[in-house]
Amino acid sequence: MPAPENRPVSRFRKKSTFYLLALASGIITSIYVVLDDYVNFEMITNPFVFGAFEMVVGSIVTFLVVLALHIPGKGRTRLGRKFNLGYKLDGNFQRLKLPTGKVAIYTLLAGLFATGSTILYFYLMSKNGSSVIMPFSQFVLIYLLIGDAISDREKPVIVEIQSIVMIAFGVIIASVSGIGSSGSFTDFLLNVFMIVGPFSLFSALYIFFQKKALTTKNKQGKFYDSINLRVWTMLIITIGQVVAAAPALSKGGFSEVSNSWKIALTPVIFSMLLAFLSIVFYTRALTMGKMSIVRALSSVSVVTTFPIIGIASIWLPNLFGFGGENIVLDIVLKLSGSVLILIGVIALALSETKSILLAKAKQGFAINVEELTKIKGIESVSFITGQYDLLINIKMRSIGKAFSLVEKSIAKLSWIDDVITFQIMKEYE
Amino acid sequence: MTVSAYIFFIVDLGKTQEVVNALREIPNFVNVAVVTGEYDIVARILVEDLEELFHVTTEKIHMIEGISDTQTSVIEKEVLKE
Repeated sequence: MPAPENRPVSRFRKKSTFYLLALASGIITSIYVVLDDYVNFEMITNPFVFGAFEMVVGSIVTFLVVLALHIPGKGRTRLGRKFNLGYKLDGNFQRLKLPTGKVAIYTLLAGLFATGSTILYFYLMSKNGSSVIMPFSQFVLIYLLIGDAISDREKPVIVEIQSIVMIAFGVIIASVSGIGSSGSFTDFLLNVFMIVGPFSLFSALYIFFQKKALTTKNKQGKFYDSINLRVWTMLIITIGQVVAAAPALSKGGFSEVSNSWKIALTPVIFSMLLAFLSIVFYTRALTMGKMSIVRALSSVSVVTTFPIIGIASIWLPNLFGFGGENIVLDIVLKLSGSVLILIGVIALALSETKSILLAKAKQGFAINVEELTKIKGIESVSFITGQYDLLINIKMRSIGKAFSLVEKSIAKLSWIDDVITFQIMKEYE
Repeated sequence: MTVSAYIFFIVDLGKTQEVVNALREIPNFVNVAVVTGEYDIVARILVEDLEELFHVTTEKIHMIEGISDTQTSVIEKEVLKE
C-alpha cells in the first residue's frame, strides 16, 4: 500500500518544502519586523503599550483569518477529508478546535514560555535597541542544539554544528554594526546576560513545546495543526502582554493608544497577518526537521531585513537610514554576515546523504520489522518480491554514519543474512 | 487498490542522465534515484494494478534507449519509521 504522502515525481520534494517553509518564514518576519519598528517609532512609542496593542489586534486578526480558512473548496483531500482553504496552509488543519490531553499541556506551556520571552523582549527593547538584542538572541541555537541532541537521542554531527555556528556568527556580524548601549558597561553586561539566559531559554522552550504539540498524536491517532496552535498560543501571549503592559497603560499608555490607534491599525493588521503566515510556516517546518536547523534557517530574516530597510529608508530616512559616517563599515559587516549565513545554509542543505539497502533474511527466521524501524536514520522498510526480501531507505548526515548504522545495527540483527548498499548520488522526488 | 514497485536499472555508459530524464516523463514514477553500486538507477513506481505495471514496463520503460537491464520488485508491505 503506497504511503499517502507519495506524490508524482514532478511535485515539490519534501526536503525542498522544509527549506522553503523555514526560509519563507524568515523572509516574511523581516517585513513585519520593519513594520513594527515603524509603528513603535512613529505612533506608539512605549514598547509595552505597543506590544499589548499589537497582540490584541493580532488575536482578532488571527481569529478572523482562521475563520476565513474554513471556507470550503472543491473536492476532497488525498486522505478523503473535505477540502478547505486551511488545508493549503497545513494539511492537518480541519477546523478551529481546542487541544486536548497532552497536546493541550504542550500548547499551554508553549504559550506561557512565548509570553515570558515576549515580555522580556519588550523589557530589553526599552533598555537597548534591537541591535543589541538581535545578535545575542542567536544564542537560543545553543539551547536548541542541546534540545535536539536530547530528543533525538543522537549527538549532532559536525557539519550541523559547523553550519549552525556559521549561521549564528553570520547573524551576529550582520547585526552587530549598530551596537551602542546608552547605559554603563555593567548595565550592558546585565542585559546581555538577560538575553543569553532567560530570554533565549524561554524562546528555546517555546520552540520545543511547539514542536512537541505538533508531533504528538491525539487519542484518535491524529496530529494537531500549526494554525490551531498559533490561535491558542496567541491568546495566551495576548493575555500575558496586556497584564505586563498594565502599569504602562495606567501611566498614560491608554491616551497614547486612543490618540494613535486609527493610524496604527492598518500597519499593525498587515504586520500581524504576515506574523501569522510566518509562524504557521515556521511551526510546519518544525514538524519536518530539527529545531536548531529550522531556527538557523529562519535567521535569514536578519539579512533580508536590510533590503527592506533600504526601501523603507526612501520614505522615512530619519527612522531607517543607515548610519552616516560608518556606512562603508556597515555594508562590509552586513555583506560578510550574509555570506556566512548563505554558506551555512547551503552546507546544511547539501550535507544530507541517503542510501538504499537491499537485505536478505535468513531462511527459517522471522523478520522483525519493528527492530528496524526503531533504528535512528531508517526512514522506511519495504517487503519486496525478487532476489532480496527487504528494501530499506536510510537518511543520514554523513556516509560514515550510514556505515555505522549498517555495520553496528542492521548487520547485527539475528535474522539478516546479507545486505547490499546503494548510495544515492542524485534524486528526484 | 494501487500497486507500488521498485525498478532497478542497469544503464549503458554515459546514458544515465538521458534515462533519468525519460523516466521523469512517465507520470507513474514517484521517485527516481541515481545510485552507486550494482545498479545505476533505482526508481519507485505507482500503478493502479499489475496489469498497468506490465503496460508501463513493457510499453514505456523498455522503449527508453540506454537501458540495458531492469529488475522489478513489487512492494508487498511498507512500514514507515516510528
